[in-house]
Amino acid sequence: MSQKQKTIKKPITVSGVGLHTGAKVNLTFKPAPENHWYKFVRTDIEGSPVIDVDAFNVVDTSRGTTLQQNGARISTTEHALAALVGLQLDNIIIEVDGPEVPIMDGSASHFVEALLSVGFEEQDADREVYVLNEVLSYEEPSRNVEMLAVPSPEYRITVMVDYNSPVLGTQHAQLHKMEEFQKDFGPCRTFCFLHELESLVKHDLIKGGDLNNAIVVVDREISQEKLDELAKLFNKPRVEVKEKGILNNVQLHFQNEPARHKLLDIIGDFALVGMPFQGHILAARPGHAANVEFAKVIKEVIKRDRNQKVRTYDLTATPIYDINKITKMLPHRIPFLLIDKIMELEADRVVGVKNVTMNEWFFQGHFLKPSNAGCFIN
Amino acid sequence: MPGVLLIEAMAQTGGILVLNTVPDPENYWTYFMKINEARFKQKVMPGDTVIFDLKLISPIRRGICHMKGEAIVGDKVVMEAEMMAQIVKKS
Repeated sequence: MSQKQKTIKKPITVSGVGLHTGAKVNLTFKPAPENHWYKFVRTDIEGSPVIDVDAFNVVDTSRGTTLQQNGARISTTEHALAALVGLQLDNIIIEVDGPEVPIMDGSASHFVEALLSVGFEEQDADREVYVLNEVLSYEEPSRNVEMLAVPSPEYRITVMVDYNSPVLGTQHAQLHKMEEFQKDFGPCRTFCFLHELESLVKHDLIKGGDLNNAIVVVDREISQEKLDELAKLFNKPRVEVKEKGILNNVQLHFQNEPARHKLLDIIGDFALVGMPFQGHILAARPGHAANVEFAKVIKEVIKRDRNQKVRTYDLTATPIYDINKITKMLPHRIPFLLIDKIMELEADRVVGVKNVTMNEWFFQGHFLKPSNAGCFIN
Repeated sequence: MPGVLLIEAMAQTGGILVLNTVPDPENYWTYFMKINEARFKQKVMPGDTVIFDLKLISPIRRGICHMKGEAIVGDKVVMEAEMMAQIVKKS
């Protein structure tokens, strides 16, 4: 049974600061027409340029996924996009009045709550889902990154992370179906290492970071003075390292929150494929760069399949209706019953099969003659 | 296979779609009302398996069903057409 496309009932605005610029930004999710997918609009730039959510518009993946089109850029797109995909929305306009999507608490939960608060609306058009029916892979040997997509009856994701860090160790996260997203993955915050943090602060790169929007992993010895210094930098009374090597700025929601966050990033980055997708993604040590490259691979495959146009049918499956059931429904009888079995039947679609043999009555005297009479042209 | 009979076979498949919306299909007649945009692209030969894939263009209203269908053999579309049919209760 095909599902209908969904959008939100009315616009909703979320405000926060951009992680890297530190500037306040307002993000507004707006309902969009059918077959629109997701598009960013930079309302602060003259002419409000539109940026399509498309893997081929990605220009930077160093800290978050940055898109550029029509001369406009938008950074840190992945968490807002993950919220949209996670709630299985199809058509949304995302207006932003700055160069960056607000970081909020480093997760997708603020976006999820905002979207849920306005409610969803079903549209008339069917949701078109790309069903993967082959195995695709992507590898970056230099960074030990490996991603695989295999056919599956649901959109599933399995993530394994391993950062050579005694604190994080090897972590693993799994999403079996998208309904799990809201509770189990939406609230998972981004994370960073303390040693990275220092250099980022020095380079003035995380002006919007305030120790509440990321899990800080401390995997090297650090003196309390250093920490005090850091606390001052972020205007915090005092920070300490807890036993597990996590800074006490935040409580972990899940023991494997970093791996779950990586899974959230994949969901967000795979919105760049440009349509809902069905398959099982297996990712080892994924990052934005790999996610985007893999999204491009999938996009190319979809394009290839679109050109072929014809869908695949499983003719060995058990028919929905066999010939006995068909004769109960249709008044036609031999020789005018021209359908053998019904393979698929939904409210708006039907697939029937006819096997043509040389024994058909209509081939008598008509077939392959140089002059076919009248309407029997073939 | 003659083109008109491909059309008939497609229409019968569409008939199943529309008759499936009523609990007692044996009590209805199905009338073929209109055909548009029909194209015959390839011959259908003995030994071919023809798949008829039909989708509704608009929701079924008052028993009127407007569909677009493709007849497929292997990976080729051999025929396509838009057709309209109506079911009417036998009196």
